[in-house]
Amino acid sequence: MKAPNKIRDLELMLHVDGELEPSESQRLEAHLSEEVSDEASDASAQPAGDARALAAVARAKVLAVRELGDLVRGHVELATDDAEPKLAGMWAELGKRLDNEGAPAPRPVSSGGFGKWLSQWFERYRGHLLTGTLSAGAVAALALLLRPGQPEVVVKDGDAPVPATMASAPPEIEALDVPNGTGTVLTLEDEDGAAAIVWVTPDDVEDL
Amino acid sequence: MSSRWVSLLVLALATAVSLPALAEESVECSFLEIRASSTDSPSLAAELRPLEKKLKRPPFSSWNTFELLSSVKTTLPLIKAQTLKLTYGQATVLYRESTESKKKRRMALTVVMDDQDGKRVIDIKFNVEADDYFAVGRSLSGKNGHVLALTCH
Repeated sequence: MKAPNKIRDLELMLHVDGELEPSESQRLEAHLSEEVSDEASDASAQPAGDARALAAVARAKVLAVRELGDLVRGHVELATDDAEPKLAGMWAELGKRLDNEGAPAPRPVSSGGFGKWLSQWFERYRGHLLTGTLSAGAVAALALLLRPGQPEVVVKDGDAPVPATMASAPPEIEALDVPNGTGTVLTLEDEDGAAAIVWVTPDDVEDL
Repeated sequence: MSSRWVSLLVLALATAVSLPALAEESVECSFLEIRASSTDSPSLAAELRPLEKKLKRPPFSSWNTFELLSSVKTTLPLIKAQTLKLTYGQATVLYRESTESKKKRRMALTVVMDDQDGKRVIDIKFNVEADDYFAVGRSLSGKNGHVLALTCH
């Protein structure tokens, strides 16, 4: 006894779309034709009756899918035909613009004065100006970030750096000769100014 | 512009440039001869008030009495030694040069000081800013001190 061979809808759709493997497609086609022949040769057998019913359903599905596909394709073709004049117009306009790309730009109208000319110029080269401004800003930011650091000056309370022009240099000894004793050089600085002291201790006088 | 005007212009510029140098041909200096001692009644001569803070610091802090022995104000010409008579000896001073440094005039001087016996105490060359003090001191017998302080401008 032969069991009814049910064919899945997915296989039918793939068969209609031609996406089944050739061997699978041949097998499906054979089943569909066999059932047609079985229906013609032996219409009384019960299993064959089930198979015929299934085959009829399958064939109906195949026909329906094919008709639906034809309808969709027809609709798309009609829509394309309807849109063709409009698309042709768009292509023609685009072609004109592309042809005018290399032509020299029209000169600004000077009748509006310098302000209008400047406005038009800015409008025309706005992209260039913005690009240049942004580039310059980026370069400036990088320069600020990557600049060599200044040496840090730590100022303590009451120890502020004195401007060079206000700094006072204490007296300087260039040459010193103490033939009969010992000389000691001291520097005293206060708010009254600086002073250098050379204290001489003679050899024949006891130390302080 | 004629050559005469060019010559006058050059002369005026040369004169303007050389004026500061001419002004530094001499300096005004004050000399203070001081005797330092320790007494029961500390005192400081009125003329030494500008030095009061410095006289309270070493090595002067060993004494409490500062007496002005002599005081001289004089003009020192450039490269012309001048001798000052002191109570304890004498001092020869030479103004050698001056320079403008940090907006303040700085003078180079030489001081040679001898004691009352004619013995050389010190021969020193130094430079000092205008209005700053320079002092040479020595120990005397009896634990006293002898100081020659000078300031120029």
